[in-house]
Amino acid sequence: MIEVTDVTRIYQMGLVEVRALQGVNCRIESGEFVGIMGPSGSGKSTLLHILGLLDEPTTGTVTIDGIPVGTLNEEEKSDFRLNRLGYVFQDYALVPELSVQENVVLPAMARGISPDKYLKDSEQILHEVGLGHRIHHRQYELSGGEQQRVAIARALINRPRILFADEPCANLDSNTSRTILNLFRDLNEKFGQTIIMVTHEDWHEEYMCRVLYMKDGRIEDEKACKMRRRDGESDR
Amino acid sequence: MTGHTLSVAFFLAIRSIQRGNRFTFLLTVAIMGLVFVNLVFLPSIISGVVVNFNSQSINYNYGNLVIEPRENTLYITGVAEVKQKISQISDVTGTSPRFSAGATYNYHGTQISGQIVGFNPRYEQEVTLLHTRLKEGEFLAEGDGDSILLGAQLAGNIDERKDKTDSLGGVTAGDSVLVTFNNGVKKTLKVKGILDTGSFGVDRNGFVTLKEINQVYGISDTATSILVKLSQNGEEERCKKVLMEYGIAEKIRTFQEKGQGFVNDAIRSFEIINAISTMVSLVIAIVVIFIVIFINTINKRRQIGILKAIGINKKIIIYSYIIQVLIIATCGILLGLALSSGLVAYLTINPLVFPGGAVYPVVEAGPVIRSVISLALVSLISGFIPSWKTANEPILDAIRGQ
Repeated sequence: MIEVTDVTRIYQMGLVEVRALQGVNCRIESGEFVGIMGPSGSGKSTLLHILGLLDEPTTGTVTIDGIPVGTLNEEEKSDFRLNRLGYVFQDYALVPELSVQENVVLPAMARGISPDKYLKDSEQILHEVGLGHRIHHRQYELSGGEQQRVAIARALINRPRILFADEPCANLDSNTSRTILNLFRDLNEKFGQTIIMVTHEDWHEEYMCRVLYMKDGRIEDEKACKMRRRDGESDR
Repeated sequence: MTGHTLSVAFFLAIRSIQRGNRFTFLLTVAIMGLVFVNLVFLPSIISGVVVNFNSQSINYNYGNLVIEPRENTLYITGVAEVKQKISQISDVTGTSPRFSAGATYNYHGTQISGQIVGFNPRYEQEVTLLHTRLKEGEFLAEGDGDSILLGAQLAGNIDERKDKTDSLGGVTAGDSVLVTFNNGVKKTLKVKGILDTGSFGVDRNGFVTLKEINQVYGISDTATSILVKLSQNGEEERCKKVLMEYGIAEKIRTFQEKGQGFVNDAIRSFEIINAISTMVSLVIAIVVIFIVIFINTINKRRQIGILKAIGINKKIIIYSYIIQVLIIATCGILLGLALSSGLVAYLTINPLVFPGGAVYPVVEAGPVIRSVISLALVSLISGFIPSWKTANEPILDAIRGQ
């Protein structure tokens, strides 16, 4: 569970002070698929970065699974991200020198998991995301949708508590976007994977449990969607 | 540092080299290899000069030790007694009394001034290797009179363009030269052989028997120096003390002391050049590695940010660059060793010719180890700084490329 209390984020851009977040409060339960939407500059990516420990709030607190993450030092945050969080970025962010499987296993290697286990896990996850036949391919041999699925597999290899996705469909056509969103929905439904996703597209709402609408650095509204977490679903 | 941190860093480094830009990798390795050659080559030539100087000095000029007249005297008298004293020392394998004087050589109207050296040919062969360096003719025999050996530089060539200095214009064995000794005595001596040692100081001299000298100067049992040959090189200082303990009152000097001056100055100058060259080479290595890693990290700034974002510890990222740099340095050093070996092999077949004779490069362990360590060290530093700087950037700045 994530709890956000009075979070503000102020950037200094030259002499100008930019108030990206102005007192955000929210709560995200385990197993939810939550969307963050809003116009450009509304603070949705900033909020996602703060929730994902990629940035720090100027004031306020973020608690994840009871841990006030603001108190963690850099090393602890790095471990926290590695062990508990997964990330999917807009432009896939794969390591071009690595094969599909090598990209996926990298976070598991960094955790010190045994090669037998991470190779087996990676094969399983790549099958789950529909890339079982592309294991030894390189990034340049894959389409955009396939690259994004590799990024999702990489995010899942350490079985994270929360998966963050920052506009994962922004560079994809609508068909490929549906493939990715279906994958997220399956992960959420089958495994109770908590997913927090920033998006611009209204039609993405149909895949989510809940949407937080942001404007001018505040959560202006929130809406429960068709896709609801089924009661009694166990967390991963 | 945990084992898996290092193994992940190693994995990333290997993949980056295997699948990264091969041209950049090969170019960097080539530059490192050439820097290594530069670090090793000049010291090998300096060592070659020193070895050449030492062997020339021992084999043709001085033996290991030189006994010289006492203070304020011109000659060593009672040579037989001194020689006998010296010969008692177990490390001494030979002694050769010599008498050197000024002389003027005249051949077909060409006149050259120089030194004439008298020795006992039998004793001389126990100390020096002059008898092995005959270009033509024969070495002197103990009873020879009216005979002379001429150094190749002094004898010269008929075609004077081949001469390095003024010469007698092409004296050959069997010719006669008129020698005017510094006491005014003139003698026509038959040239028995021409010596070519490659040592300028030797090849400018004429050599006669001590019997000849004794006749010319009307002396006996007198020398201007006694050359001493030891069973082992490198024992000069110790044996010098032993000789003094045996009651040798004459001046005793090692071949190094005799050779001080020109060669030492040359070596000192070489070492200054070498120090400058080493500094420049290392700066080139630092700059090249720094630029390569800096550009690499700048190009991969976003990727580094992403890796940090997904929880890859920054130590893994820094180590991966350091390992890459060490692999580049290792390949560069191996290439440098191969190139140096080729260069040394070539110069062994085609040696450099210095005034002291042919100089063969001598590669010693010291400079090679120093070069390996210094290259590895500068690579480490110049690889660490840019990777550390980029890996320490805030994640979002790196991801956004700000």
